[in-house]
Amino acid sequence: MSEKLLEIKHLEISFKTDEGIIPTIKDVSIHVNKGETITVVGESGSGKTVTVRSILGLVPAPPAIYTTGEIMFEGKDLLKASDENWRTIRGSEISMVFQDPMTALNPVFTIGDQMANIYLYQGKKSTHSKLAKRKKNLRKDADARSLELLEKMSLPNPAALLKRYPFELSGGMKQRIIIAMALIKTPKLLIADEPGTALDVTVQASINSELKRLVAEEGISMIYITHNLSVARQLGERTYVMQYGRVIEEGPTDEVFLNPKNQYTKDLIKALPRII
Amino acid sequence: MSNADTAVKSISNNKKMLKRLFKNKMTILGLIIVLFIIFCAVFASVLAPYPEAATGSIDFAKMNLKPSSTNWFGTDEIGRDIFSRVIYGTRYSLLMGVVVITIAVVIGVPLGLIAGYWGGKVNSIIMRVTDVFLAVPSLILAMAVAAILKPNLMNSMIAISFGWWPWFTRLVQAETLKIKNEQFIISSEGIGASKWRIAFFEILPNCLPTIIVKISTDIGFVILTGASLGFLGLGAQPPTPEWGTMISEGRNYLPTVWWPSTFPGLAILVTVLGFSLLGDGIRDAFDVRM
Amino acid sequence: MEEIILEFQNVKKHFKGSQSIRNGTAPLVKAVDDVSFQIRKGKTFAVVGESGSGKTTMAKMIMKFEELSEGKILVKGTDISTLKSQELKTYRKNVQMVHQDPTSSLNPRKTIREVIEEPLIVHKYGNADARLEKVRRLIEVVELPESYINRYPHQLSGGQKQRVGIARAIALNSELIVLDEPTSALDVSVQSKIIELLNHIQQEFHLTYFFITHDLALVRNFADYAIVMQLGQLVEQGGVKDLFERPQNDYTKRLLRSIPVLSLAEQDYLERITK
Repeated sequence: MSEKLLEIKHLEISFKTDEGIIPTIKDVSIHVNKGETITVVGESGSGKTVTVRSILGLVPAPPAIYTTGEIMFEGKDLLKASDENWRTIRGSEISMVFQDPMTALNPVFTIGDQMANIYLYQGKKSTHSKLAKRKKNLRKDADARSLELLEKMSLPNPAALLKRYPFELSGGMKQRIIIAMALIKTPKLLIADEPGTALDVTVQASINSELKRLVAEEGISMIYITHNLSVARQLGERTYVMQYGRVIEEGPTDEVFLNPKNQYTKDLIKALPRII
Repeated sequence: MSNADTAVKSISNNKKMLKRLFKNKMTILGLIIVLFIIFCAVFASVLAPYPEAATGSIDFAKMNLKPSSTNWFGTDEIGRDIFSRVIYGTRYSLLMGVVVITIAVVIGVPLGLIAGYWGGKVNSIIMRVTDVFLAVPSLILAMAVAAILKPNLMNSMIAISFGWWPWFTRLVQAETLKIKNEQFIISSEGIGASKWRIAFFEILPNCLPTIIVKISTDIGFVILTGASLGFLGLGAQPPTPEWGTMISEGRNYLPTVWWPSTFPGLAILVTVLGFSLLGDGIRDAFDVRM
Repeated sequence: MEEIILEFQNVKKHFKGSQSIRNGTAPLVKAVDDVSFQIRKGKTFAVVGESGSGKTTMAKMIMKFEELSEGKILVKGTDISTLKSQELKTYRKNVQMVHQDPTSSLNPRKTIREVIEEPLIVHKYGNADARLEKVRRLIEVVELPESYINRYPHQLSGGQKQRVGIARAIALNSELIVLDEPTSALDVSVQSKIIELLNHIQQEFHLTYFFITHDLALVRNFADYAIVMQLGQLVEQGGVKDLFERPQNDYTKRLLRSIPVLSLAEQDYLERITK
């Protein structure tokens, strides 16, 4: 249970801008154990998004400069992964759910097509898998897996949903579909970057609880990023608080919230409006 | 408390843009060419070795001399030094570029703003009129207008302007459509600002980058069009040393006596190249920041 | 009792839905469906709802960006649909708005001074010197350094830009301020400061706030009175304390239950009142 799945060790990233080289991520160390959910909390500019995107190699190296650090996943340093390696990792071993459901789906393909594509092609070393193209019944398998996940995300009438286009669906439905898509290949690690912040509160609340249930059921580790402290409290077993590119507080979630040691953490907690 | 309330960027955008502008070597080349052309135009009387060549001296003894140390670009059919004439030619080309673009901007930009912001019937009328002008190829249109009016430099400029303003209208109308739905325009409407005020003081400043880029790239092409008219005899008339006219004059002596047509032609090439490079550079410099 | 600043009387707003090829008739979208309420001077009136609730449409009608379909909106007793050009301008002087996104609500090509000055120029407030003086005072009120008046919006942080938006909204001593989710685009640590500022200037200038939000926790701490909107209908209204102690409507209870709270005590409290 306390076996590390992913470990970011002393990561340092700077960015080349018109104003010179700006250090952005400063000596960040974060780890996730197998089957664990951790939350990374921070405001805008804290560096939380850049940090997790670098896990998936989504921070291109110019303009970023990776000065030091490693990201260890199953014994390998992801920062040194080749493009080929990335194809097998992204989407199938490590998956990511992004913030904005409105633009994350391709508008010209049906939901069924998009989900099947992931099942059939994601994780293969070559993008042209002739085998998959020839065997039509593989598509049936793909659809079965898609239906399974759509049901798990409590989406109504999944069979009909496969034939829909993104523009026909509400924001909440799209967000659930995106999460389902991230789970098709049963990744070992799911990274959720503030999913649903663009959506209504009631929708967010139900999506968060479904997400929590689903990753627990499938034994998936999760890194959940948010700026909302209360959400962090409900979702993660351990919490990291980031500010200005550094991790300024970490620990078991309850500890961080009941006994904050850093002034910034205390201020964040104090700034939350109270109900009673 | 974390000072999330502190200012974020301190260097102004304009300085950043200038820095970017000067990083590009091609842009600097373009800028040098343009500055050189302007320099020639201003100091033509000093730079030209035979200033009288520009005003119509005749010396049949020196007819059609090859380029040599005394006449760098050779002489033409009536003995005028081509180098001097090319230098003086910069004045007419630049004048053409500046006047035409000015007219096009003064007419085209306000029309585009009004069409885009007022919308509805006003937009339809303005844009359909614009379409009519755009439907005719600009050179043909210029030829037609120039043929009606007496062929001279002034009239050729008017003729070209006829075909040039619609492009600015289209450009500005498209930009206006994009900008008018921005929140800060809506908030100005909420403040009670009049439509005219919003169009000219809020929307127009936001269109400026696109307009400036178009101006810098277009000057070169205006000059080219002007030279084309000159070549066709519809622009400045001989003995005015306008480059297009000069090419036409030297046409009959090609290919043996190649220099009277070639050097003015090269001058046009270099000028258009210079303005294009500069315009491209300005566009790239604006692009990154917007 | 203070005067009634804003009143909605059976206000309705319909939009024609998109035509479908099969049916000839276009279905009507009832964006605002028979809403009535009153707001007294100096109070903060919150409108709570999710997307599609009609709260933004209501704000647009108050700002006269949209016309009503039925009913009346009265500001200080006057039916705003009867206002004509000069009266309309006076109306705009008296009702101002703070927008949700501080970045897009400021013209990127204007300095902060020009942004705040605009309402003063449009409504012909004194000469250039008088305006500059007013801009200086306003910058001070919103707790920004005076040097900022020569900066451009991109040089300011989100919270600072919102302060500028607030300065602009109070420049004409308007009585009614419409606040459209003024803090939702800001960081948590900044939100509380902006709310503090809004409280402070409300007291100083005796302002009335029409406050749109989806954040119930904010409503608890900031508003006096609230209405809950669902799909264009007003499903519950009352003093904020009452709403939080004895919510009646199921939708209100659902909204309350989805507030993410930090302490177990708050969680228990919410569970109790939404049973």
